[in-house]
Formats: sequence, structure tokens, C-alpha cells
Amino acid sequence: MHIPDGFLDTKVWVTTTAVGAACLRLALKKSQAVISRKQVPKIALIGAFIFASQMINFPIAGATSGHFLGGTMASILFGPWTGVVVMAAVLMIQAFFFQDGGITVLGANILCTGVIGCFVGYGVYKLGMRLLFGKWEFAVSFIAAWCSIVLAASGVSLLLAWSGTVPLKVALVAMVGWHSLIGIGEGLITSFVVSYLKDRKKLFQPAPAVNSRQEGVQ
Amino acid sequence: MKLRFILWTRIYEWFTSEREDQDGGKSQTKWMVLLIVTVCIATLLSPFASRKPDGLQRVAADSGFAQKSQHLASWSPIAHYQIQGLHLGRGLMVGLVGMIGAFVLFMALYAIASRLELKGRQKSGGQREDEKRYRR
Repeated sequence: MHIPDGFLDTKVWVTTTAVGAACLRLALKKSQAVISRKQVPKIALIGAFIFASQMINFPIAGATSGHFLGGTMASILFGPWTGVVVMAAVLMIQAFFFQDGGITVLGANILCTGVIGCFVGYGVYKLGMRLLFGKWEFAVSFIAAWCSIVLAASGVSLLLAWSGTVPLKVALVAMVGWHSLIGIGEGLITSFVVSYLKDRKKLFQPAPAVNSRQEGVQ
Repeated sequence: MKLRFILWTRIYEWFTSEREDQDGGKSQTKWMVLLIVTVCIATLLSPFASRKPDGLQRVAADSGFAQKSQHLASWSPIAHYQIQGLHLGRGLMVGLVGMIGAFVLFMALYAIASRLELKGRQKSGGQREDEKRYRR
């Protein structure tokens, strides 16, 4: 779901670039307080994993393919602010080195797949874990990842409609339709990686809410 | 024979060691596995990726705005996952570029994350829990 140059008109890409830059600045600031020394190589590895996985387009129905995005996975493991930093790094390297996804729309891509992807996924995950008392983590992370993809696709539709590229209803129906299928792949990968990497022991003892550093992967 | 046995035992011990893992648990091994998985995905699996249009490209084609997509300029020597001026089979090329990309991302995020971690430590005056644990 990388928007190429030309899909968004000037007012939209200027706005999204400004908002995207502001969000990234905030994420860089907020993540300083939560990244621990032991997390540094793990964050780098998750970034490399997300890049590699995004290359793997898997076929879905009707001669269409989809690929993993990874915002929810990074957010569950390291928190949403670090997740935004990871996603922004992936998107920037794809745009500048591989010219995959446009330059003018980089802010829009960071907003949709980064900010929406990370915060929606993380929010649904936290809510689900709280409601189910930390049980059924596999299902909760699956649903969180699915929701993040569908909402990121809705975000892209809104931007396309705002640019006058395509009517909102058409964009929303088509984007949400395809991405609710792609979201199944996203959900499966996210659930498997999260359940593999997260420490089993921590799931059964609720982390103290005061210290955000206790959450996720240490 | 005995030497080889000792060597393999050492490799196994190193691979499954938990000495740096102060939280208890087997996370070091798991992250090593993730590293191997990442390298395999980037080099071996990427040539087999589907080349059909993805969700957004499909919507663009169906709704008739795909032609709006444009490239401002081509500046990158590895644009579109192809190394310019290098003639390789598609599979080899994609695998090679996947490896380069994953490596670049690892290095970039390592630099960014360690810089952020350092800044966070300076701000909190070096009084952070993991810092104390590290010195111990």
C-alpha cells in the first residue's frame, strides 16, 4: 500500500508532509524515553525483517497481491512511538533507495502505514489484552493487525478522495474490500512473530501501568 | 572426531546461551532465529514474491487513475529493486537487492535507535534501570 507520486494533489501532499513530519518528530522524541540498550539491535533487526517481508507479495483473490506492513508487530514489541520510527525508516529507505512509494507522498505514507498502522494496531491490542485479561494473545494480535491494515487503507482512501483522484465511496469500498483480505496475511504473520518473540512469563503477570518500559520486548 | 564433537558443542552452547539474557527466558536464541529468518526471506523467498498488482495498484487500475502515477526522476542506482548496469537473472537480482536493503535498514535503524537510547539516557541523568543492570 505505497502511494506513488501523482496520486495526491498539491494541497494534500503538502499538508500530509507537514503533519507526517510533525508526527515523526514527536515519535523520535517520545521513543527516547522508552528505548533500552538491549532493545537497540532488536529494533534494527525488526526493521530489517519488516523490509524483507514487505518484498514478499502474496497472491490473494482476483489476480491481486498483498504484502505485510508490520506497524502493529513493531508496536506490540516496542510500543507505538518506536513503531512509528521503524516504519518511517522502512518507508524512507524504500522511497529514496528503491523508489518504491513516492517522495512527495512520503508524509502520507508515513501517516497511513506508520502512524495509523502503529496506533490502531497497538490500541486494539491493548484493549483486547485488557478485556481478555491477557489471554488469547494470538487472536488479539491477529485482530489488531487486521484492524490496522483496514484503517490504513481507509486513510489512503480519504486522502485519494480529498485529492479528487477518485470519489470517496468508490475508493473506500475498493480499498477496504481488498485490504480486509490482505489483513488476514498481516494478522497471521503478526500473531506468529509476536507469540514467538514475546516472553511467555510476562503475559500472566500484568505489567505495572506506571512504567511503560516494562511492556513488550525488553 | 572428539575435536569436532567439542566444536559442535561450543557452537550449540553459544547459540542457546542465555548469559546475556538477564530477564530469564530464551529470547537470545529466538532473536538469532529471527535474524536467520530475515536473511532467508530477503535472499531466498523474495524472488518468489507475487508480481501481481497489490491492493492499491489494483484499485487504481479498476477505478481508472493508475495513469496518474508518475516518477519525478530516477536517481537511485538500485531503483525498483534492480541494480543499474548489472545483468543478472531476475531471481538473483531480487535476492541480492533484498539482502542489500535488509542490511541498509539494519544499519540505519541501529544508528537511529542507539542515538535515541543515548539521548534518553542523558535526559534521565543516567539513572535508568537497564544502565545500572548493564554495569553490574
